[in-house]
This record gives sequence, structure tokens and C-alpha cells, in this order.
Amino acid sequence: METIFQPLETKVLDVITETPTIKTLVLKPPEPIPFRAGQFMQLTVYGEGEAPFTPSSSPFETETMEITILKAGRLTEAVHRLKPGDMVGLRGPFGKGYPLHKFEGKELLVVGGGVGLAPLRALLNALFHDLDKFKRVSIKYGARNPDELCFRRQYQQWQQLPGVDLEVTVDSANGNWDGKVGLVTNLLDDTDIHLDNAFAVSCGPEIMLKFVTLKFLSIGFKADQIYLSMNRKMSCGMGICGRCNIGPYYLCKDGPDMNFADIQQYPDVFG
Amino acid sequence: MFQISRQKLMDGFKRFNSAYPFYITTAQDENYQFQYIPINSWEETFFAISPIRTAQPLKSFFYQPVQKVAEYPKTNGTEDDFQPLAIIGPKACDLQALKIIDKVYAEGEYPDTNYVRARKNHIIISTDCLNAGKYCFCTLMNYQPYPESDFDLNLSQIDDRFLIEVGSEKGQEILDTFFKGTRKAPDSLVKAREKLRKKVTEQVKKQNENFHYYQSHQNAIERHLDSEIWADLGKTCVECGICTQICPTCHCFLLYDLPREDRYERIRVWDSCFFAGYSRMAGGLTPRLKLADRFKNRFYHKFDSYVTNFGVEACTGCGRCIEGCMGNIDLRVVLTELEKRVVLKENLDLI
Repeated sequence: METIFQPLETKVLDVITETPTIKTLVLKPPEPIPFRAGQFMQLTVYGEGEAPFTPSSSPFETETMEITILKAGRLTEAVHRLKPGDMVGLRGPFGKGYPLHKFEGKELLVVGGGVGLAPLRALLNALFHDLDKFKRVSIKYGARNPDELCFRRQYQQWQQLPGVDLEVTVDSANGNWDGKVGLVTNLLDDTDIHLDNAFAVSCGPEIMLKFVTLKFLSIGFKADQIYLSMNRKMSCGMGICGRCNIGPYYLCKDGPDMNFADIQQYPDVFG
Repeated sequence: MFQISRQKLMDGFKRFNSAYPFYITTAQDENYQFQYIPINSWEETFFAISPIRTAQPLKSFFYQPVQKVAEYPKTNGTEDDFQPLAIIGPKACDLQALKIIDKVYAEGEYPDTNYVRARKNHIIISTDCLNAGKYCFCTLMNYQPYPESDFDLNLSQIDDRFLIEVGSEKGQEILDTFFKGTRKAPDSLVKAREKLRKKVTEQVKKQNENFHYYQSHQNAIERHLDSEIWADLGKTCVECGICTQICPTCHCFLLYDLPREDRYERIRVWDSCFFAGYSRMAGGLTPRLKLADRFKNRFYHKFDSYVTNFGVEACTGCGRCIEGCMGNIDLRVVLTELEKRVVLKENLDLI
């Protein structure tokens, strides 16, 4: 009997090395998997199990799907061993995704940390697809060091888009880096975003999310103008296995991108 | 409402067992269990109505502790050993608990196919409680120690006669097909059942009279989300997870994949929110790392977020968690303590 836990067998077309610890899988699902920016997939590595990842490719690209993954544990180490031609499994998409209609006519401050830029790239690609609908897209991105900057090859292209600006920083510089050094929160100090007509969006490690959120609030964003890509362990993806809740919300079903106003009251919001 | 003699009931079970394997309650010792009776192996000596609910929650027949839920790569015509069962003897607290789990597994956006199939096909012949178990508190949760709905047939023993109540079309069909010699029950028998039911209800109420809930548990928990009280209330917890495993409404699980000869199997196993690894992520971040936070989360889930999401508390007062707890943690005491503090605080605020 076909169950809701059955993965869709999917071929790995290509594996792109983004950084020493981040790879992008280019996948060719047997049939297109429509998704909204911010929605995620459960990726099966054969025999290893499943983990949730948000596609990093555009929702408007339906023939292939890209998922960008940091090597962080047993399953993701297996992901990094995958080669073109290997098979993986997909379930999904799950979650709500970003409320793009709410973002229309607004300025968007998009703040990423490390591999957190991967899920944000799906959002950015969706925004770039209809740039005239959005007033401005201001991207702030930070990584630990220059080697860990994800999608570096695309920054120039993004910056050239009308209404799009990008600032990049690294926590600590090495050899050839002549860009900014410091935490990504530093980039938010002198933002010229118009707070009365803006939304802030962030994705990154939990500790970064916490301080980015505090910074958003301190520069004048209200809680309901902030969308955070929240992470918890997820097994089912459908709000039934129990573990990914913050308050009454199941991040897999109600998120993973949550409006901060909905979750700020819960003591365990940042782990 | 029908009555049937003991002998005719036994004959009926024999016929019924030729079509369905049974799980039937046994009452040999203090812990009542379900006993498996394969097709065509019915003996009259198997029949015993357990006085109270079994140790094993009813959910385990619908949502098994360990269950293969998928395999890949997909093969044509995968083997499937699903077998409709007749489950004889569950009590009202467990029937209501299944309804609570239905909200998650059957009525949500993604119905669980295995669960829904079991719910559709298993036959439930429930029975009234014959007394109050030591830890029972169904009345405190506004339930009763006798089934009023959500069964196919319900059986009540009055002396040497049995009263059968039909709860579904399927139940009527089974009664008509397998149980010969039923007669319409006289009012006197129905009244006798009412009397017995009232007696047991009073017993449950009596043993819980020291617990009074003045307001909703949800309110009491909302007021303690950021409180130190949880560390205190849960200080004897040893994180064994038994309260969640035997709880008839707990439904958390984990998926994992196993290699087989020529394919992989996906297994679903019961999990427990009391285990630290329950929410541990790659990279090591563990939300609710402190036991007190996990302890709080169990109560938060059952009595707060479940109400928010589904309009019902995820507890039917079966008392298994109290009975099974090695740390002597009593759910009723926890709820009462929370309420006491809210009431105390409200009174202080008034002053």
C-alpha cells in the first residue's frame, strides 16, 4: 500500500561543490514537483534516511530542482558522497512557504548566514522573477570566512538587477579578501530600508537568527514585519510526528518560515 | 439494545472467530492484557471482561510501536500483511483516546493510510468498566467509565446475561451474521446497566475527590510557560519515556531507514518527547535540552496546544502514566499544583 512516507525516486543529475563544506545537488524528479519559495522537501539518502531541506533553485524552474546542503552530520556526509547518476528520494513539498503576496509593493531586507543563503535563494529567485512587483530587495549575507561564502559566482549577477543590492561580510578574513569583516548584524546598523513599508526575512544558524532578530527589532522593525526560517528536527514533514513545535505551531506544517509575532512569546523560540 | 445469554454469546464468538482473529482482554492477574486469538481457535475459557482498561493502550492496534511504512526502490505489488482484527474488551477511555488521535492521523491534511485503514477495518467490541482502577480518573477529564459511542458493539454484563448495544452499521452486521439468539433487551436490564454504570462512575469520582480543577488547564499552563515550577514538578522523572509509550493519546514517532537485501525499508517507531535525542539536530543543537523543558512540553502539548489546534485535551484519564511512572509523578498532582499557583497568584493580585 502506498503511504505518505513513500519517497519519489529521483536521479542526481549533477553535484556542484559550492564551498569545502557545501554542495548543491541538481535533481531530476520523474515528474515536476511544484513548490513555493520557502517550502521544503524531505530528501532520502538510500539506506541512511531522510532529512528536511529547502530547495535552493527557483520555484519557476520545474524540470530540475536544486538542493544545497552543508555537511553537518551522518546523513549530510552521505549526501556529500553522492555522484551524478545516483538515486535519492524526495517527499514534499511541505510547509507554507513565504507569503509572497504580502511582500508585494514592499522593500525586503533579506539576511542570510552561511548555508542559510540556500533556502533564501529560492525566495530570491522568486522575487527576481517578478522584480517589478517588489519595491526593493536588499540582501545582507555573512559567512564564517571567504571560503564558506555560498553561491559566490552569482553575486555580481544579483547586484546588477534593478532594485537589488547585496552586501557581503565574513566573520574572519583570509588571504585574498578585501571585503567587509564582521558579523552580518553589523551590516544592518546603517541600512536605509524604509521601515514603514518593509519586511525583514532571515535564514541562518539559530544563534545568528537570534541576534539578527534582536537587531531587526532594535533598528525599528516590528515583530510582525519579521519572517524567520526556523529549524527544528523534523521527521514526517506533515505535523504528525510531533517534534518540531514552537508553541502550538509545527514548523513543518505551519512554517518553516514563521512570522516572529506568532512565536516570540514562547521561551524556547531560539532553542 | 439487545440481550443475549452467556452460552449464545460464546457460540457467537466462536462463529465470529472463524472470520476474524481476536485480541481479547484477559483478566488473570492485576495487569490486564490483550490476548491474541488466531482465526478458528476460540475457547470459552478465553472469555473474560477485564474490570478496567488493559495496560496496553488501544492505539497500538492502529498505530503499531514498530511498523514498516514504505520501501524503496518501489517494487510492484509489495507484500502487505494487513489483517482486520476484532478487538474485544477496550474501555471508554481508550475509545475516546482514538478519537483524539484521529485528529492528527485521520482528519488532517495528510491522513496516514495505515492508520485510516486500521480504523476502517478493525472491529471494536468495547465493554463497561466493572470498577475503578487504582489510578483511574476519567471523570476528572469529563469522561465516563463506560462507552457511549465510537464502538461497533458494546457489551455489558449483568449477572449471567449480557446487554449488547450497537454502535455502528458494521456492528449491526456482525451481530446479525454471527450472534444468534439475541432478543430485544427489557427495560429492567437497561436500568440494571444504568445502576452499575452509576456505581462505577461514583467510585471513580470518589477516589479523585481531592483533585479539583477550578479553571482550564490551558490557562494554568499558559501562565507557567516561563516558570521554574516544571523543574520542581518533574524532579523525580528518570526520562524512561513510559508515560508517553503507554499513553493512549501520545502519537509521536520517528522514521528511520534500514537496508534489506535488494531494497530499503522505512520504519516508523514510537518516539518519546522525554528523550533528549527527540529533537536533537545535526550540528548538535537540541531544543528543550533541559529535562524540565521536556517535562513542560508534554503537559503543554496535551493540555494547551492540542486544545488550540484541535479543541480537545489529549488525555482521557486512563491513569496509565501514573501507574507506570518510576518517579511517582502523578499527572493530577501536576495539574492541581499549576492551578493552585494560578489561583494563589490571582488572589495576591487582588490584594
